[in-house]
Amino acid sequence: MKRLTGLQKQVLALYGGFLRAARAKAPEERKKIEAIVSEEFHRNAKEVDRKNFIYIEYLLRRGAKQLHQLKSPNTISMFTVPVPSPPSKPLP
Amino acid sequence: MATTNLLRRTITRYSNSLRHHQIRLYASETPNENLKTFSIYRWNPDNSSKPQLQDYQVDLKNCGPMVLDALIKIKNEIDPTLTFRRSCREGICGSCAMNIDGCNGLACLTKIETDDMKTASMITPLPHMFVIKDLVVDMTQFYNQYKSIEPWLKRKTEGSETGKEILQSKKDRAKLDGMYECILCACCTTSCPSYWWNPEKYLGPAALLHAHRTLILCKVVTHTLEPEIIPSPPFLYWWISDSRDEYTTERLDAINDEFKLYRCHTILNCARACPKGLNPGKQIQAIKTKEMMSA
Amino acid sequence: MATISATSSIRFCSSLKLSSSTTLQVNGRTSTVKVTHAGWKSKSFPSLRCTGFRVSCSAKPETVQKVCEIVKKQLALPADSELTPDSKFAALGADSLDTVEIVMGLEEEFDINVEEDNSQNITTVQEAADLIEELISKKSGA
Repeated sequence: MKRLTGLQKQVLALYGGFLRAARAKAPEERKKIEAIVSEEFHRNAKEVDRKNFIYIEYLLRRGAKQLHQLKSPNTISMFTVPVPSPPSKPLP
Repeated sequence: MATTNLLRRTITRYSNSLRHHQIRLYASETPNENLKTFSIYRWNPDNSSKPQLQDYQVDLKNCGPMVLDALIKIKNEIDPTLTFRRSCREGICGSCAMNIDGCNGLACLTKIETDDMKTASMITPLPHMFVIKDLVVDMTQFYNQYKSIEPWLKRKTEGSETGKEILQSKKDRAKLDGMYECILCACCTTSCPSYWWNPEKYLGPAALLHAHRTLILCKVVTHTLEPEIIPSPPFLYWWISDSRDEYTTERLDAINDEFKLYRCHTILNCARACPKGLNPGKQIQAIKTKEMMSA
Repeated sequence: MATISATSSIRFCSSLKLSSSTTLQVNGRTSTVKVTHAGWKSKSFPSLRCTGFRVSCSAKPETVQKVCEIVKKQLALPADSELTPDSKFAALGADSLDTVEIVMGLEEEFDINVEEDNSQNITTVQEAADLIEELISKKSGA
């Protein structure tokens, strides 16, 4: 396996954090949360340019915030709302 | 007599409105003189473009005098995707803090630069903060630092009468002047070079100003309870010597840290940046004095 | 005297997760080990806090079997697919995200907590099984 960069390690740690946090939820909700999280990570792994550090760091911060919310015992579930993706412009 | 007066007033009013009309006519013939360019920082995480400055031209004739007025006009009439925080538009909510022509300030309290109409006004997010979108920055860290100083009243004992509010005298209230006005807009903290270096460890001017406010607040409250035993020496002296102070020592110990407090090197950018005219640097000096005297 | 130094060298090794063969080598240089040990202790080197004798050896076959099952489940491989202890996750079609999922599945199955640094170094079934045995023994020892 190739050596991971610091950024990649952070992403994997965040993913692990989400999966750990999901364990504390009700079994049905847990499945849903895991599906949402897994879908998002895999999609971004495929779609996001690996050199677009600004965006990856932005996603990491956003993910950390969402994880913080998910960890709260008051949070029982997670939902996603489909947003039409804006026309993507190529890098200038 | 009365009729003459009335007539004179009517004439004046009429000629005034006439003059106004002429000016307006003149202005509409040469609109370019009122066009001001704003270069605004744009970054949208949802499309993969890099951050850039985008120019917008605003006719100041049809726009309010403040930078926020121009931003709202741009969002309403030119580009609805421009994103920024705003709420009260009168400098009390602290939402519209941003960097305007190189200085941190509230857009609603900063006048549009009209002396030099040819140069563009540059508007960027607060420096050294993570951007969420365009001019909106992530304030999580800032708020967490504010939370860490526990900016609320803490008491070990009950008040003299349970359930009764603890009143404050005018004199005690006056001691909070220069601190209670803070609206937590983060202009000072994000202008501090020391904070740019150590944003995780140094609390920053805003949080420290509130730390000092809470210190004095605690003092004032206990003081109000038993006014007959207030010692007469200067404020600082009794502040430290007074054993009725309930969490002062704990609070002082909590921020007595090489990084949390002592990363302030009295650069005083905070005082220059504060849109409310406060001086956080002075309050930090006061905390340092108290730390020294309590040691 | 010799006994004491030997003990200290074992502790040193176990904390740094060296294999038993390395222990013997270090034993040969007892005096050196003693010096380093004392030096670190005064600075309370964190890994030295871990006590108890532990030998890292190949994991039990049932652990390996269990790990194989979990890997199959997580990667949605057919039940009859061939899986050897030396199979690399990457060769089975797993990316780094899938590896995290596998580690999370193992954590839950064996009721352990894998540190992020360790979890990112696991690439084969054997490595996973070894780490699990190590963590379980550490847990029961603590």
